[in-house]
Amino acid sequence: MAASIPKRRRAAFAFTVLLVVANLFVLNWIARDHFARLDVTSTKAFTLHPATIDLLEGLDDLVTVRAFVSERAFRDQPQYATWPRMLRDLLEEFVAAGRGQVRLEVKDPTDDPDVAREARTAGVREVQLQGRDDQSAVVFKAYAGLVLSYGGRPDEVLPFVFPVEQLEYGLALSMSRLVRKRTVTIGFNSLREAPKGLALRYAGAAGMDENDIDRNWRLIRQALERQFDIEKVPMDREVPAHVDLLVVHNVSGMDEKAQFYLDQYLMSGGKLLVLADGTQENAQLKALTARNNVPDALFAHYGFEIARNIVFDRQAYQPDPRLPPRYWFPKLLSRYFDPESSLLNGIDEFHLMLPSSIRLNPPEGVEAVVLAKTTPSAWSQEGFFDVRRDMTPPENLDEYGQFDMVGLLEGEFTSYFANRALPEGVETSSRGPTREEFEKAGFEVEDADDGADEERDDEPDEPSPSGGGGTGGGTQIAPMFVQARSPATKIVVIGNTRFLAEGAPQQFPGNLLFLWALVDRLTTGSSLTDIRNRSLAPPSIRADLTPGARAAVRYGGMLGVPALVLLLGLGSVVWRRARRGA
Amino acid sequence: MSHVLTVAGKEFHCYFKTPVGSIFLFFFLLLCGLFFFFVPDYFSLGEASLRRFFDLLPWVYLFFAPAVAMKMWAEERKIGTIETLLTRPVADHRIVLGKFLASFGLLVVALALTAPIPLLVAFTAASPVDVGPVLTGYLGAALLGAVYIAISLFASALTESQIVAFILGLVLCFFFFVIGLPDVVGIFPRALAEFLTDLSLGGHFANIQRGVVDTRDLLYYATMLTVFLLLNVLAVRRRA
Repeated sequence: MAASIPKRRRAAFAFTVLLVVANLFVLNWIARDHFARLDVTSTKAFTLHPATIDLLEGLDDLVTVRAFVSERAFRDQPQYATWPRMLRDLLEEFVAAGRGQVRLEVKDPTDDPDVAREARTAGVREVQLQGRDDQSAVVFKAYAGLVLSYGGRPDEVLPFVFPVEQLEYGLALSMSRLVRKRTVTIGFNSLREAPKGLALRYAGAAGMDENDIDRNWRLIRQALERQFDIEKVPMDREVPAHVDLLVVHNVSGMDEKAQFYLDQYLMSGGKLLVLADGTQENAQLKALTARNNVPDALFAHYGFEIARNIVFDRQAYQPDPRLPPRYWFPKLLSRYFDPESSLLNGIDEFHLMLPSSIRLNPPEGVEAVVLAKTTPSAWSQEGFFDVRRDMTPPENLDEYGQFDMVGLLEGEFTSYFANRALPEGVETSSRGPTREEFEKAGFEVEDADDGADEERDDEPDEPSPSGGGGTGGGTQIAPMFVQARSPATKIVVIGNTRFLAEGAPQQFPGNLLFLWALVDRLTTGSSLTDIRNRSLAPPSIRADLTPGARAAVRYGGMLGVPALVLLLGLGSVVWRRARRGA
Repeated sequence: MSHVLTVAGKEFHCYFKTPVGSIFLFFFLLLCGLFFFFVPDYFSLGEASLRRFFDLLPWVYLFFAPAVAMKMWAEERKIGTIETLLTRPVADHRIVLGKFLASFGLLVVALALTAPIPLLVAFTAASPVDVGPVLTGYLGAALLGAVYIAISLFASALTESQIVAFILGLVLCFFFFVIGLPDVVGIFPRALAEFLTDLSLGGHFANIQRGVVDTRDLLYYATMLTVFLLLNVLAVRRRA
């Protein structure tokens, strides 16, 4: 009988329980440092990205990571309490993947003046953060910086590494910068004369002025400078050979000479990112009109065209979800991106502002792909456009359609100037390779003299780039310096610059990320941006669900199964009673 | 093992002899659906994710687990069948395990009946829902529920009143869930805060529900389960 269980047996059992519990606690204690983790998310969101692992496995010398973290200060604040653990977990993943080439030193400067001094000397500063103490907000100071040392190179410093979600990217970026053997250079065809269209101000966007645009460009530059060397490339001379990608975002200043240098940069294998609006601001009318200074012939030769329209979309930027969008700036969504291309991988969405559509018509030897389209609920307007007027979407359904907004042209391009007279003032003396060197490298070099004659004979009606009917006013260049065909290269074209100049990076972080990913993948083919692009965000909700479908989901989800369970339960009781009665 | 299954089968069957089991399931599913789809409105949040569902499960469990387990020992004690039960040629720990499996079985049925929720989320999602975290979320929910049941069974073994057992179970589950929440550990000194975080049910559940299966979390749940089932046996012996 249980009641007769002797006291000694009960005591022995209690002692056994105590021993088991103690053993389990010890086991848990040991497991804190010896554990295995399995990340089952499809994006491996909580695992080091393959690009990070590649980088770490490729280290040929020891990288020392010194982490200065005020662990106690963070742990004392409820909302930051898990940060030190997440940071340490991630850093330990780096050490494990580094196969002995990454050494980690974690130091807490809080109570150690020497460590605090070491942190400050290295460039890590104490940062003021806002926490909470019972009911009130408190300010506390903490260190959370990393210093990376590699060989004899200058240290890379991440002065403040939180939030941890972005740490892997930041750390991988710093490490790649520290160990890289060659710098990637991005040229902007102009930086100081960045476009200062103020379409948004005319449209009534509060606070938008030239200072905002300057600040936007500065932020974009600073963001890109974290990974690349940025260089202003004046278009009145040849594009330096070390420029890996030329961002052409100011087409209004492109005269024939600039077009020639652009062309020859492309012919030498350089990559182009062309941003161009098909409309321009009219300051007097405070309106947009068709842009008249786009080098259409040059662009058409390469296989694309910037339409003189403005594209709007019902799927639009909506600052206040309670109000309908006012500007209908198209929101480009990943489901309308080309699924085959990796250039926009990981980008969920970005916004274009008063953009123009593009048309792709690739020449022979070049392949064209539309990378991003609007949704099918977009429409366009051509001609004079008063941006101050409130927009209303068209009522006629026939006016809606999808527009191509971002395109990729890839292949071997032919020179626009191969068969044309060259612009006046083109400098030839500085061009490096000789005709023999070009030919030896497998490039086709044509005689500009002959070509110019042929072109005049064959295509008498096409205006020459000099605008003067062929050779008029043009200076002949020594034939050997015109490179007529490019090796395989790429052009990405977007019918919009305003999304960068006037779309504040803080307000539209997707835009900056979009530019960054494009630049990264076009130049290095690297997937470092994939780390940053790895989304921890869940999918959004389908926009095409009708109110009825939404109600069905809500009420069905809440009541469907419970009602069924209740009915079955009651049915079962009734059935039992009926059986008992029978 | 057959004794365990016999006890488990008998106890599980008891839930459905009367409408009690169906009523438990009804309220569990209704609360899950209500809080997931209506409070706040699922569509107003704009994200097709089950994270919120798994966030609210521990709170719904707080009522469900003690309710399911409260009668297990308290009723036996109140109507005096505990003497008969414990004098049968079945070891005490087998009876405890059998009762645990019966209650846990009901919880698993309840969890399984929430399957339409992920399906509806997948239906409303603009892009495919990540299946991995959903599966680990359910694994974590089952483990967390198992510990809640073990705690509630222990509470039931301490009293002969079902109401007291329910309240005691709720308080104990609540305590072990909240002690590791950031807002709670913030008020303790560092060493204690770290210990409480490791001891808390909530912290370990957060890790597993986001899609990371960590041996530390699995070991923790196994430990908590073992400890409370052993305490249950101890309590039954002591009070018998």
